[in-house]
Amino acid sequence: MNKLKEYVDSLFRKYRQTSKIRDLKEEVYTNLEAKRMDLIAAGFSPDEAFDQVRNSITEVDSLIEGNIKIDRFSFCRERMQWMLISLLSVWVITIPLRVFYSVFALSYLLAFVILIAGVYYIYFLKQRGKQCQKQTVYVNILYYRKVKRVVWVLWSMYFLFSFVMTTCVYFGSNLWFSRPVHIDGPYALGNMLVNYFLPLLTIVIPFIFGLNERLALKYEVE
Amino acid sequence: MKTRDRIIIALGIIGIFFVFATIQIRNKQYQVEKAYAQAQQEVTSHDLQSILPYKNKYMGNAPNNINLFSHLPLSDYPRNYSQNPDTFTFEIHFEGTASGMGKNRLQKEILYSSVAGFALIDNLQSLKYDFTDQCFTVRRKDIEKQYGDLKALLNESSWHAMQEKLKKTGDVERIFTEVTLRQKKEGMSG
Repeated sequence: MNKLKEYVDSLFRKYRQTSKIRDLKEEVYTNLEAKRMDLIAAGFSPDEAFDQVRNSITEVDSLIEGNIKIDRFSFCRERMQWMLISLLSVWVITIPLRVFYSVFALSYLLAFVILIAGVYYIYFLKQRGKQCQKQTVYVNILYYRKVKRVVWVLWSMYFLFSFVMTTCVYFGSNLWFSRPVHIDGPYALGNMLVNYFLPLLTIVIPFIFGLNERLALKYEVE
Repeated sequence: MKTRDRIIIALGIIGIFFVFATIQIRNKQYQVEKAYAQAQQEVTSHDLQSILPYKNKYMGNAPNNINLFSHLPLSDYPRNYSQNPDTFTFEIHFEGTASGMGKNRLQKEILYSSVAGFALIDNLQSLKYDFTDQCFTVRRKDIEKQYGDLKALLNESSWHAMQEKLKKTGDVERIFTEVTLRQKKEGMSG
């Protein structure tokens, strides 16, 4: 394999070799080869021509479909802020519901997760933030969009599954044997409603994944 | 940025406030429950409503009998149960001594438990309180002689009047002597 082909391959190494990437790679290689031949025809040695061609293109990120350059610090900071706000909101909702056994462990688990996330957020602002301030990175908006769609589909399936399961647990035998529904008092009713309601709180997961696309567009830089 | 940080801090404060509030409420509930449980161990403050669900025609229903006596003042003493359907007798075997309980408390609680047992279990004829040092047997007819129609006691005012009478130590001692058949065990004193 010639040096130019190897160089072009190295530029595309971090990308999955889809047909679009292969076409783009071929196009970049053809253009650079044509440029190299022109330089040789103009009197440059093959090594000098290769060096000039190589220096003319050092990255291909801007050529990839859906790639945008973003302000990394602002993107990460706002994403963490929204994550903390979402988790805290869910935690606050679960606190009064802790009288129900099924919520008790979840509430403590959330408090623990929030504590870790909060400590990391402070560390990010103090230490890592300094390192990546003014740093720009390429992110792929199409990838974020795809991930968001997949997470929403998975969450919808989970929610539907838990809804059906809860209904089967509480009313399965009533439906199957045509027996009247019997609920022993307000606590039993509350417990049942909580079991329907709890899976809904996981809506913060697709929400957090959905933030990536919105924030990438918000913090896009030239 | 600052607005979101403020929201984070505000939510954190609300969450911590909620946690402390729920702990306070739970502690208050616990105190109320504890006070209620303590009151259930005292004959003069025992709640009739807590034993009414165990009203039964037949003493043959052992779980019901056990539940009933587990909700009566003597329930804080480790014990096990047995029953004799031939003589319509329910027996409570305590793991401690009667003398260790204190004379006045023992008399009041045996009288109260007997009234409750006979009033709620229709065909129960005899109750045996078997301690490691002594055994007390109480019969329905003796209790009825002292308190009249026991079923008539099963309302708040009559029940409360009966509980009030148990505050008078002299009366309790007299009735207890009249209604109980006391049997000392060998090698024990008291």
